[in-house]
Amino acid sequence: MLASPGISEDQMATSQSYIMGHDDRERRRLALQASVLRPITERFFEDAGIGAGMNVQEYDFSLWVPSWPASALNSRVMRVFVELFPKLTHANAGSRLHHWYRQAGFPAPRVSGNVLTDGAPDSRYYEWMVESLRAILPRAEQMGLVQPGEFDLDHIAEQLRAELLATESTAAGIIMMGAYSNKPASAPLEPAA
Amino acid sequence: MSRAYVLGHSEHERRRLQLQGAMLAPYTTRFFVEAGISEGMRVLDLGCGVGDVSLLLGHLVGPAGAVQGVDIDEASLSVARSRAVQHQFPNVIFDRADIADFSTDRRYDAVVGRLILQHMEDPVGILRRAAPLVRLGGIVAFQDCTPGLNVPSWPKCPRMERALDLIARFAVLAIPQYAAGTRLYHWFLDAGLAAPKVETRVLTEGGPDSVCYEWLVETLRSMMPRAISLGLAEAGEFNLETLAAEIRQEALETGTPMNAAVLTGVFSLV
Repeated sequence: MLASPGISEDQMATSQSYIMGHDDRERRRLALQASVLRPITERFFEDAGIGAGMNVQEYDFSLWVPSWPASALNSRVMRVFVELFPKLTHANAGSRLHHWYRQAGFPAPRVSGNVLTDGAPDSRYYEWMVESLRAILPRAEQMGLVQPGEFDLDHIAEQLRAELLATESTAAGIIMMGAYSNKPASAPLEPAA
Repeated sequence: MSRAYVLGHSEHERRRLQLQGAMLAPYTTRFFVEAGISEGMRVLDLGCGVGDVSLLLGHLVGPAGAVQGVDIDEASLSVARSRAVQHQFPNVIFDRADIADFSTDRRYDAVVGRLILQHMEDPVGILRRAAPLVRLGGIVAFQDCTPGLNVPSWPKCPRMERALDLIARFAVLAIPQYAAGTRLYHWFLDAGLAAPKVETRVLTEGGPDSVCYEWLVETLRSMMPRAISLGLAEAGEFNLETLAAEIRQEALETGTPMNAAVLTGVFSLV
């Protein structure tokens, strides 16, 4: 069964190519992302105890926490991600982490979720969202989720920022789930049945 | 005047609140520490219920600090006072008051509340009245969830999912501010509180020893009469005596943790 044009379920579950691409702009977007996500990643690593075991954080696009008052542009951008990711990959990777750890043979991991809620005027969130949108836009257009020309990528960061400041709301909350588990010291990993 | 508490003031509701308090304690402690609550501070806990947040604050402020919890329900306050004695917190006191119009001449280093604004008709008004109770440079910090919002657990557990879905749909119809968590940031700004900081967490619980299964069922128990009258559930649909064990077993067999709630904390310095 094709999960999306040209991508089979098997590819999706194994070694599909990185959907955001591998160019300089993507590397810059990743740097922005690291900056935006740093507080919640640090919080997660503190929860886990650095070096205590294996730590993984994943997005979970099965849901996003809406802004209030509603911000139309922010919601529209989020909907593109929420509609696109299930077609290309495991949109609820975050919620699957516990199961994946167990399948890999780790003891039941502790799972914690953080939601990126940011509304500060000087936040790098706006720029990061736009660069993320830029990375997926060709696929989103190809799949008919976005009309060509619908987003003005040169101005949308400022529009997002202005919208959130005008409505006095935080950005739509992107969910990051984290899981950590300790590898047993003496026994080999035993994948769960 | 506050409107009636949707989940009632019964004995099992007070027990449910203690289960909930145990589940939320690590998240709330961390949030208060991040907000700056520390040893020696005087803190007011609005809508303290059976005292979980006040006792947690008692640990944070230590013997040199002081905590005052206020709530409208005398039976809950009685439980809270007993727990303060039991845990040896002479500096944690409880007073009866309606937080919707609470006033005092005292000044505090911090005014806080957890899962209380969602039940209030005028949450912004409460925040407005909280600010003058805090000394200059003091802290206003509230934590609330968005009970109408669920992060789906995976793999699917039908019983757990049905229970969480029912709670979410009940919240939308019965809880005055069912989206309190997502609105908290805006309420702070609306109340004139400057530069609020916000953090939101998904409460993911599970494992054989978690209290989350019991908490889930006690929440159903508290809301069930009203849920039935609202047409959300049928009488006899759940066997509440066995449901916690059933959900626990289902979750352990499938290896599914429970995404129990989305909890947002916002604090601001006055």
